[in-house]
Amino acid sequence: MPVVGLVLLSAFFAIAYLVLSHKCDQTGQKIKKAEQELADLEQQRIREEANWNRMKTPEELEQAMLRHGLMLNFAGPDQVARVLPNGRIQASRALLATTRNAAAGTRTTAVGQ
Amino acid sequence: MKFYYDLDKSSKFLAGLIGIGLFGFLCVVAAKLCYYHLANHTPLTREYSVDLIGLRGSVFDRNGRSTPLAMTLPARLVFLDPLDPKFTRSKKPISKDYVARELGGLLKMDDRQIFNMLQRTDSRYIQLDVTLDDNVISNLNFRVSAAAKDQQLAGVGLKEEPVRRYPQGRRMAHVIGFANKLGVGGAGVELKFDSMLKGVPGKIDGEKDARQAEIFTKRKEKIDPIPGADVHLTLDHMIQYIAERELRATIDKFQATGGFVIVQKVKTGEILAMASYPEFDPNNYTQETPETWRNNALAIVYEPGSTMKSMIVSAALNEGVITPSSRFDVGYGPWFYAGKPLRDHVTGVVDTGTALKKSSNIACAKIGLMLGNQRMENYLRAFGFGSKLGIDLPGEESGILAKTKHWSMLSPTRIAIGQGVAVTGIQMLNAYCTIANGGRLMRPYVVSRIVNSDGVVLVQNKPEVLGRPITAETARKVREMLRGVTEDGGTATRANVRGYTVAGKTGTAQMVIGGTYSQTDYHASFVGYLPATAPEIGIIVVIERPKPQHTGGYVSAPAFSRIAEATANYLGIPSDLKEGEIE
Repeated sequence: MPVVGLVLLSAFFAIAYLVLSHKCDQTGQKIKKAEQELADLEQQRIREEANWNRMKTPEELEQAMLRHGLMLNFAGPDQVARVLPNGRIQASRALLATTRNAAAGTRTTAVGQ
Repeated sequence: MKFYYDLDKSSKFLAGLIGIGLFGFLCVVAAKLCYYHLANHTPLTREYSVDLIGLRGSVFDRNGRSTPLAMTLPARLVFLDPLDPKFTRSKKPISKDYVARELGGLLKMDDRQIFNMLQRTDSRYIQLDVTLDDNVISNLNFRVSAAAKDQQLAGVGLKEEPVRRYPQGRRMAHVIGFANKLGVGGAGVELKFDSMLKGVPGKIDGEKDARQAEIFTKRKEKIDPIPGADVHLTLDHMIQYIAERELRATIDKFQATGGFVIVQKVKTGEILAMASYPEFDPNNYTQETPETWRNNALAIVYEPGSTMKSMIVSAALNEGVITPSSRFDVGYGPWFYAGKPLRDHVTGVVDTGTALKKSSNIACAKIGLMLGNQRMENYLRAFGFGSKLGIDLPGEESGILAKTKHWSMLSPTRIAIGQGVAVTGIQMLNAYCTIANGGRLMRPYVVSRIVNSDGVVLVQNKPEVLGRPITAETARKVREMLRGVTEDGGTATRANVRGYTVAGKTGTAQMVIGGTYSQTDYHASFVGYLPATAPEIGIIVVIERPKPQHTGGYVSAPAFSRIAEATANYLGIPSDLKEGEIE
């Protein structure tokens, strides 16, 4: 009878070990799968970033602006007014003239003309 | 047990024997199971070892991560296995025709070509295509798995394959260079900083199951890969775009064979743009001839012509040999020296400023003689000619400046007007930036910093003064004279920029072909800086073999003007023309 008990106890521990081992393997598979998913997503992000950067090249931006009927350029020095540390505003003569005319309520010309 | 006791003696013996045998067998099985489960050994067939790719570092412009110029992308290599058992299995075999059609549609390839590859019997690994398309990758991943069921493809595999891509195409190709399929740099920054850009591979060691998949719980070790360091350039992709656009347009307009443009920050030596023609696309560099890979701004030498005159005048002023008001009689015809004539388009008596403004050959030749051979050589070397400046790019040429012991009697008169000496574009621009920078010669550089994957700065480049060939006062005098070149009566009125003062010098140099000066082929150049009163940027434009016009003032100066205007506006450089104020 003690032998039978010993055998039954051994069998119980063996089965418990197998069950826990199986659970560990399953968890390991989930971790492995998640690891792979993370790696795949990171790679997808890198490829997407490359696509986005290709769309942002100056040529692509120019084409996109033309498609929307826009023609933009960087402002020239006669289109820029600078605020000096003393609060005064430094600007080109053309811009000054435009501003004064506007203040006087007379018809203005486009800046820079 | 009652059953056992009911048996006769022989039967009891037999039953006992069977029981013992069974028990023994189970013990052996249990012992074996314990051994395989718990003992620390792995048969070779179960060893799992895979290398993890350390991606090559990226290259960015001065605007940082928003503008990558070179990056390694994790693509997928699609390969074929014509001997895959799924083609010939008895239950639901998959036809090669079906696979060829499906793959052809996904990869946009000729399905006949794929079908022919699937007929091969000599290989189980035939490379088909490299794809970066996420839709294609996820579609293929699904369709090669058993979960795809009726849509499953056979004989197709996917393998991780890093590919080097240059998102901006031809832009900055000569500076960035390229890396080959093995991830080894072949030109430009890719070559110069190859060891820092290379990644370090990682590794996973463990065990695999019968389906060749890793058993995570049996993993022994994982070493993460280390990506390569990132290189941040001083160049700006927008200024580069402007420079390349104008260079291409000028070459097209004058049917030229080549040329280059460099834009540099005067005070620091940083290169903002470096364009060279002919161009190449680093994404397909093997389709272009090696001549196109050459960076003409550094790697070709040319006779500079009249652009050299400013250096001779600077040297003579610095030595006190002449003053800005010194006068020179250039006569009304050719001037003979050492038996050789020298022609000029200027006549009469001119002062130093006028000699530069109108680019008088005879006046500058006489200044060269007054300076003397040894001092002339010393000053030219002090300005950076005749040796490498040490820019952080491969392929820089030294130029040609012979020692005075090799000079003939004629040499000082000819070197003074830019003949008998050969320079690179970066040397010439750097010399003019020295004049603009109060006499300080700066080291030109294209790499701002190199940062590893942990954010640690491995290399930080700072402005470096290489020397001081002339004093600040001499530089100021020369700058005033160079302003005259772009004013009425000067040779470069076409170089003017709206809203700014400009200073610079034109050059029209005959090319040396077969040992003699060509009468038809020229280098047309303009080198200058703006604003002239407070220089911020220096620009050189050199066009090779322009036709039918070939002078620097007609060909290169307008290109300089367009590049300078767009660059100054983009950088927001304040105008130095008199402005008003309002409250």
